[in-house]
Amino acid sequence: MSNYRKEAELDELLQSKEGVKGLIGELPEDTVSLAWRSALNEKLMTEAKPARQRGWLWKPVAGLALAGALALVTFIPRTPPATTANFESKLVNAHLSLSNAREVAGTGLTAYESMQETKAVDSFHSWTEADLNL
Amino acid sequence: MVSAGAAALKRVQPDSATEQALVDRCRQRDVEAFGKVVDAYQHRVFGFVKRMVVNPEDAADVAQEVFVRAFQAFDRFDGRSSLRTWLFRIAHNLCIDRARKSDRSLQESSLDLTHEDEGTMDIPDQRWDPELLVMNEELAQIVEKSIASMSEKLRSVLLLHDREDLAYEEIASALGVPVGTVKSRLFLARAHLQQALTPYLNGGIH
Repeated sequence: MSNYRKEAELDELLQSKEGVKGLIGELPEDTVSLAWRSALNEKLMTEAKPARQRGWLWKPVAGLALAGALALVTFIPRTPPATTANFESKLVNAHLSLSNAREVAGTGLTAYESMQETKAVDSFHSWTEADLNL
Repeated sequence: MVSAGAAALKRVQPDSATEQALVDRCRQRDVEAFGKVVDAYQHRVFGFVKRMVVNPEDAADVAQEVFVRAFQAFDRFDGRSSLRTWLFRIAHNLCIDRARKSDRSLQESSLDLTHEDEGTMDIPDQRWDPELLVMNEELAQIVEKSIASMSEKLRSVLLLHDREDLAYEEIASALGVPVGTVKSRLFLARAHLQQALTPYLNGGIH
């Protein structure tokens, strides 16, 4: 038997007992008491309260947190991100200044000084008394 | 007989536009708007719960719980079903939970009508004419007793359809069962009630 036919038969059977619906519908209406409603209202107010309280508690906290975050972002100095070109030029400059410093005040002799020193030594060895009569 | 005031109470239900406005406000946890929802449905929900939960104190408690749960979960009400269907779904679930918690299986029918695959049942009583039956206190008691003796499955469908005028589809949505199951349960529930009334019709109950 197809589902459609089954359902049609069921509808027909239900129709035959439609009178019962009238009996159920005519049963006396149930009404709730004022005490019942009052108790329900109290429960609903209790349910509604925590949400309100949480709102009052969390809203200022959230506001303060937001203000703090904004202050941090605004007032803390930010260093610009180093670019590759900046970094390279700084590296070269640092190397040059170090080299210059070594040239001026480094330990030992520079190549030029070394050459001059050699000449001085030679002149020392070739010194004669005639040199004293200047 | 139903009093005019009681009948009027049952009919009070907001129109769809008003209800939608109330729903929008309730989603924002507006207690005042939810109070109006309670005004509209409290008697019907209480009536349903009272017949589903035998203990009157439990019934009052569960009926309140229905509205508290609805208030808590209103932001999850998606509007796919009507507000009425949603409230009855919550009510039905809470009644089942309460029955399980109290470890009291809802009284099954003395008639063996709990199996839905049971064959068709008809009462060949020519005197059965609901139009001629006048609802008096005695008949009301028999009907109430018969409803209470049904299984929870039959009872919920009977009440939601014949008492609360929910459509088959709405009941199927509220109970989470197919429409065909709703129809077969309704047929069995009506047959059960009809059979319970037979002695009354035969003059056996006085």
